[in-house]
This record gives sequence, structure tokens and C-alpha cells, in this order.
Amino acid sequence: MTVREQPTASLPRFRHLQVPTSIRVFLHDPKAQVATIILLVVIFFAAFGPAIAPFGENEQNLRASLEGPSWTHLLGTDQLGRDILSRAMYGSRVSVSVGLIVVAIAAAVALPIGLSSGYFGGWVDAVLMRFVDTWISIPPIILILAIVAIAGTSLGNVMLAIGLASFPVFSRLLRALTLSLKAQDFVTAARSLGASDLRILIRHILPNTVQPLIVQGTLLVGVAVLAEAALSFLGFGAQPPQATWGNMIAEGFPVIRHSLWPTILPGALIMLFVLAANFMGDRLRDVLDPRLRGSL
Amino acid sequence: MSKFILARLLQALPVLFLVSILTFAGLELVPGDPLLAVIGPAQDGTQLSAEDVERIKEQFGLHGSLPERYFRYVEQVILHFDFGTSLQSQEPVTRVIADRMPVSLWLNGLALGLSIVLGLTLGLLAGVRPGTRGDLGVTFLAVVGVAAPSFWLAIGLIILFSVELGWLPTSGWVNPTSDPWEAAKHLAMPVFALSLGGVAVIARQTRSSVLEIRRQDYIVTARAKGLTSSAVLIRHVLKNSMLPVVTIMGLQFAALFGGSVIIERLFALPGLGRLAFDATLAHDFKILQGIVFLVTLVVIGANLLTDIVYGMLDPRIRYQ
Repeated sequence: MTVREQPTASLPRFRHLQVPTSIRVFLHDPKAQVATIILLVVIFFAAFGPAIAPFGENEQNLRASLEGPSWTHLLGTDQLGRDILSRAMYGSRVSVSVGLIVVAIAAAVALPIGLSSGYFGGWVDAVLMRFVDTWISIPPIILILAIVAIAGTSLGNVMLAIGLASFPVFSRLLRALTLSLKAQDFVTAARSLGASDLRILIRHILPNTVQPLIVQGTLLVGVAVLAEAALSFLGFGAQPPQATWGNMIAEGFPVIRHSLWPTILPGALIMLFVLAANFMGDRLRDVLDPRLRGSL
Repeated sequence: MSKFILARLLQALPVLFLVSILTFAGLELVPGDPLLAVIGPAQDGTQLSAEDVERIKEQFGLHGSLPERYFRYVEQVILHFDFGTSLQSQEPVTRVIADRMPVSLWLNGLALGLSIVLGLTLGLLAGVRPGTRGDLGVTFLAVVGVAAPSFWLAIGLIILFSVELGWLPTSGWVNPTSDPWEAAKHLAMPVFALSLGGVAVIARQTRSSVLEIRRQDYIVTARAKGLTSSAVLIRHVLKNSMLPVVTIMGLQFAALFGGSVIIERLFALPGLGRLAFDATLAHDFKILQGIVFLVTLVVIGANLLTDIVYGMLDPRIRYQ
């Protein structure tokens, strides 16, 4: 990226080329503003939820069950009289960690596959890409269910399963990036200086794939959060009484005839969080890598 | 064209081979002895005799060395279309799956049809008049449809149409061939909820595709020739906008089946999705193996079909 940097004197003329400007462009976009605010609020709740939540995660008060919003319980209570707002705050911890860990798992699996497939080509590429093609053909939810059935029901296994189900997107992206990067002059230069394949891959190619990976990772956060919520709802994720947004909807569903509050809020939070992650990914893509716009 | 189709069919073969390895390996990966997963730990502490173990192993096709088991598995699946015996109900997996098939075909077929019709219509309306209120509405719907959990929207439908209005039953399955009206009432909400994600994706893709095509020179030429707006729209814009949309439709097959796991559970429909859910709960790996294999086969078939349709619509693809 140092190539793109211009001397300070020419700043006004080349404003659109400057990295800080791209951040400014990003923050001037209304969609990006909304996304940033939502994500910051959710991350804040995830980090400080236990400290600021008015009630405990599983603090029951059966006399106050299924109440609507009041000053004591700002967003009402569920059938066990637990404070919905507090539980939603605790639940945000699960969603944020699911988003981050799933992306990390998917990237970790995809890195060796995508890099070597693109770099070595030939039969390595053929074998690895056939494997990825096959993996993609299995519908993700079925794949996740199969992994959960084998590994057992827990939040950790669900994250592992979602990560494993979603790595092909990353590996295809990495393969395409590596293919174009390995043909560039700086790779030829490194090779003529005697750099090994491993060194070229790690020191020269990998750093140049980071930006597109961040964009794809942000978009995957939304997918991961939706998948975890669906699996929690089905009962395969974190087990009750742990508060996750999916669990909260599952627990609220049987009492929808009496109160809608336990169901509406967690669903709306999932939607907002996924929406924010998608907006963020779209806008980051436009700002960081205009070449990829609309192509993925 | 036949050469293109043949080439695509040949490309699918290694994928099929890998699917067989993966589904087979899945069962082998079950921690501990798969046999223990079958019969469960001995409750009364009695030990099974070696002959009993052999007999049960043979019954479920778990005897022999690893390569032996794999080749037997492939032979059974390919030659006899036999996926073994359900670990739970002890019925043939093929029959259990076949029993659930009609429900899944109705649900997924109708949902796919609805998402294509609704998605194309909305996307076209939005793309033809960008910036209008209609366009904003469609864009909003597409954004929400992708971000909102389908089961949450489905609960919203239940609250509105079952609890508040009392128009539709909350759950259950009625065979459309025996009582079409009741079946329609039972299927309306699940089909709609299942198709929402697809509607959103297809509408979004159609919209951007239409916007792109409308800028092309040949559209200007068509207008300049004096064609009516509807002729330009149908013969030029719609046909050429379909290309990327066809790809999306192929991908929707896999997405639909994933969605049906949760929608069938919510609306108590006895389809394949529900079967996959129950099999996961019961650790019935044989059923899961069969479902993964069959559904993947359908997805591969759908992708193949998509590619062929794509090749028919766009000659450039055939000669690549």
C-alpha cells in the first residue's frame, strides 16, 4: 500500500487516493454510519453487559412473569419473570463471539487450501477445488446438523460446524487472489532473490489478501449469527438457561399467545446485528477494494 | 450443446465420488464405536457376546475392514440404492426417506416457485423504475428478508394469521391430493416463510441485473427502432437479466432445504427437514448419511441443470 501514498503537498489533488480519505468516505455514508453505530452498541453490550445489565442472566421473579415494558423492566419479562433487556445483553456476548470465532475458524481452514490451490496450481489445485466444490454442494444446515450429531450438542461445536460449513467462500476467494498476485512483479522479484515458496506465500502473498478477507469475513459474521440463532432455536446450540438470542426466541414461542415481548426483541436484535454486519461488509468492499464491487 | 452437457456431466463425477467418501467418513468419525451409538451403552451392565456383536455389526453393515466397508457402502448405494437400516426405527433408510419425500417436494417446490415468481416480479418492478417508492420498498424488503431469521418471521406470520385473525391453522400436514383446500391453508404460511429469503435474494439480483442491462447500447437501439416499452422489457431486458438470476436460483436449492429444517419443525410438517432434525437428536447416523447423500445429489443435479440452462441462454458459456 505504500506505493499509493502521495507526498503531503499533493494531498488536495489526490484526495480520493488517500487511505484516511477512504475511511472518511466510509464514515460519511449513511448506511455505514448506521452499521457502525449498531455494531458499536452490540459490542459495548457484549463487553460490559454483565456490569450494566439491571438484572442477572437467570434472575427469576415468578410474580412478575410475562410483564410488558415498565420502569423496572424496560423491555418486559419472560415466563419465568426474567428481565428481557438483561438477557438480551448477555445474549449479545454469544452472538458477537459466534461472529468472530466462526470467521476465525473458516479463515484458518481456508488459508492453507486457498493459498496452495492458487499458488501451486496443477493437480494440487484440481484436487483441492474438487473437494471444495463437493463441500459446497452439501446444504450448510445439513452439514452442520451432521457435524453436531457426530461431535455433540454445544455452543463450541455449533461454532466449529458453522465455521467448517462456511470455509469454501474464503478458500475460493483466496485462490482467486493468489492466482492474480503470484503473477505480479513483486512475487517474481522475491523468487529471483531466492525466497522459498513458503516465504513468498506468507510474507508476500498473504498480507495482500487481508483487505478482501476482512470484507468477506464481515459478510460471514451475518451468516454465522443467523445460523447460530437457528441452531439455538432448534436446541442444538448453547443450552438453556444460557441466554442467547436464538434460545430466547425458542423460549418465547410457546407463550406468544400471552406476550410478544420475549419473542420480538431477540429477533429484532438478530436482524439489526446481521443488517449492520451486511451493510458494513458492502461498504467496506466499496471503500477498500472497488475492483471487487458487485463481483462476489 | 450435447458436448457441453457431456463435459459438465463428467465434471460431476469426481464430486459424486467425494460425496460418497465424505458421507461414509462421517459415520466413521462418530467418536467411539459406531456400534455403541447404534445399540447405546448396555443399561444393565451385561456384556454382549462376541457373536452378538458380529451379528449386529453385519445387520448394520459395520463389519469388515475400512476399505471393505467403503466399497460395500458404495456398492449398496449405487447398485441397489440402499442406504442401510435406520439405527432407531430399524426400517430401511430408503423407505423412511421416501415416506417423507412428498411433504418436502410440495413444500420446497412451492417455495421455490413462489420465490422465483415473486422475486422476479419485484426485482423487475424495482429495476425498471429505480428511485421510486416501489423500488425503495423492494430494496427494503430484500434487505430485511436477508437479515431477519426466517423462523422469527414465521412466528410473526403465526401471530398475525393464526392467533390474531384465526384464518390459518398453526401447524400440521394435509395431503394436497386428498383435500386441496385444507392443504393450501396448512401450507400457506410455511411456504411463504420458507420462500422469503429466496424472494429477497432473487429480487435483489434481478434489480441490479435489470439496472445494468437497461444501460446497454442494444436497449437504446431497440427503443430507437420504435419497439414498445413492453416489447423492449420482455424480449430484451428480461431475457438478458435472467442470466445471473438463473445462477442464484440454482443456489437457492441448497438454501431452501436448509430453511426447511427449521420451518418443518416450527409448523410440524413431516418432511425431510424434520427427519434430519429428529435424526440429529436421536444420533441416527444412517438416516443422516442417507439424507446428506440424497440432498447433495439433488443439489449437484440442480447445479448441473442450472449450468445447462445457462449454456442454452448464453452461447458464450458453451464455448469456454
